[in-house]
Amino acid sequence: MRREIKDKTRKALMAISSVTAIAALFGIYYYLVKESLPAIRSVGAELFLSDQWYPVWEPGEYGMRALIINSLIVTVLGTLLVVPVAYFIAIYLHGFATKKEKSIVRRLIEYLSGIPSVIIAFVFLTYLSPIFPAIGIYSPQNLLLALIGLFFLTIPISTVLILESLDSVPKELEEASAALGALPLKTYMKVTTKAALPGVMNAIVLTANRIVGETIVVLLLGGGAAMVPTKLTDPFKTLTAAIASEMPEAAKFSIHYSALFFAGLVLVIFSTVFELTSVMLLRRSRR
Amino acid sequence: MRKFILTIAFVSLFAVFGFATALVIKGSNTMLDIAQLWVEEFNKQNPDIKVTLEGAGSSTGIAALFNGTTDIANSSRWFKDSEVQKMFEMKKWFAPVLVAWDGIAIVVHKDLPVKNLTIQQIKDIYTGKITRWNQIDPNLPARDIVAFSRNTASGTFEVFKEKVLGDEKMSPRVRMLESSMAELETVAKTPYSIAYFGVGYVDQSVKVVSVNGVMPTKQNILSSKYALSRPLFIFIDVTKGWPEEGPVAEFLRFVMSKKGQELVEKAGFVAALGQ
Repeated sequence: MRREIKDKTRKALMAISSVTAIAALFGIYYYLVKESLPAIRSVGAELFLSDQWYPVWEPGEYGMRALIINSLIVTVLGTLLVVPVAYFIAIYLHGFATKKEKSIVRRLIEYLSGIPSVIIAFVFLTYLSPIFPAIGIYSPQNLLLALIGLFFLTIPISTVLILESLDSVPKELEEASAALGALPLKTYMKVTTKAALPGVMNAIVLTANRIVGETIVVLLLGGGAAMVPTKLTDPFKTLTAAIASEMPEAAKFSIHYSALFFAGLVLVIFSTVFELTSVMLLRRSRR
Repeated sequence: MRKFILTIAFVSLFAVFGFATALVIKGSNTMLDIAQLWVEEFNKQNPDIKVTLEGAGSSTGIAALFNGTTDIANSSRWFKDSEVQKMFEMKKWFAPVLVAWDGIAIVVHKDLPVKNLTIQQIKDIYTGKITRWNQIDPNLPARDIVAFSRNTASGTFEVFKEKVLGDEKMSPRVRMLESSMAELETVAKTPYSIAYFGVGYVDQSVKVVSVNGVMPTKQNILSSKYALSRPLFIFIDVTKGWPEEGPVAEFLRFVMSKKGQELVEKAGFVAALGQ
């Protein structure tokens, strides 16, 4: 009887937690849409079509096409940079490293993943940024610097996630592959990776989401120019950087304020699209 | 164990409420150096008043005054029309106290052989009409101009926009930086660069150019001969009347005292009373 009550209480607590999480998610969507409406009504399609981001001018202009494109550029380039490196580190740790090596490196990686992004941004700003002018690139904060910062920020979490999914594959699969004559690297890359694909996909999506939502690194290392960069050494500004730097000054309920909420809505939509794409790809790969 | 946790909780509560902050100052990044000197000296004279100071831009300070999250807003600019409008709507009244004078210095990398720029040339640089130094003078290097600006929360940005850009918009190629100190450090290490910030931040690592042939000296700033002179303010909420006593009144009295104004000069700015 007592065990039954305990069990029911646990179930109820779990149900409440799930409902709260879902309600919070819908709440965020609701408020983002609600606060974005004034900007959508007053600015309309220009929000997407124009590059003119002049929110503090009279009259203000709220074209965030460049900010949106920059967020996508950073996410795509960042993910392309991080995931392959994280994957090879994970493969090495999974199959080739000794137990002791694996344990030390894993601990270190987990520790690195806990370093606040502002520290990474600050270190790169202080020590790496001055190198650019010294080698003839007269833009000390730029896309390349931000990508390097994002790389160090996301590589630990991406590696840990990929490693966990590789480690979760049953050993028998790898043994069977080896028995058929496949070399270890081929086994890990073809057999283990295929079996661990859902976890690897999840790691890629989480990496992309981490990059698209990253604020402080792009704010401090990006240079804050609201234009689409044409080369890696150009400065740029993303949606998150605009929200972080401009929200404190935006008068409440002004169009600027509403446009920044719209920027938040676009970011949430990006995250949702990444998530759905990964689900679709996963389904296709299972067929 | 429970007793230990309770003790910790009690001590934490005491730490939070027992040493509560009595005076909060937020706002202008330009005025941060002066404000730090003020707070240091004020704390010596009034050890019972705990002061917290934050410089995140004049707009941020004024926004905090509206939200009631600061007692004093430092501002390197006058109110915007939208803020005056908001005061009427919210039935809040903020009073300005002129506490210092400043000139927005136009600085370039120290190796750049440029001595003077006109307001029109600065405007052309920041709106993107002039992109290379030799477009200003054929003797200057044929290199791209690397222009830096304070971010839009800054009062310095607002004054620059009003006095230099007018109705025209800043080129998106201009790099926005979060603080005057960041601008100073970046210009010092970036060849062919230009930036603007309060004269109090200038040091030997950068070169100040004259504007319309006038240097931002103390006399030129006070007489407004320097085109980019501006007053620096403290804004306080006087909706419930002018504070005659309490931390805000004490602090204002100190700021306007001989000592407070000496500290303005020590920080590299010009005293409001023209010492």
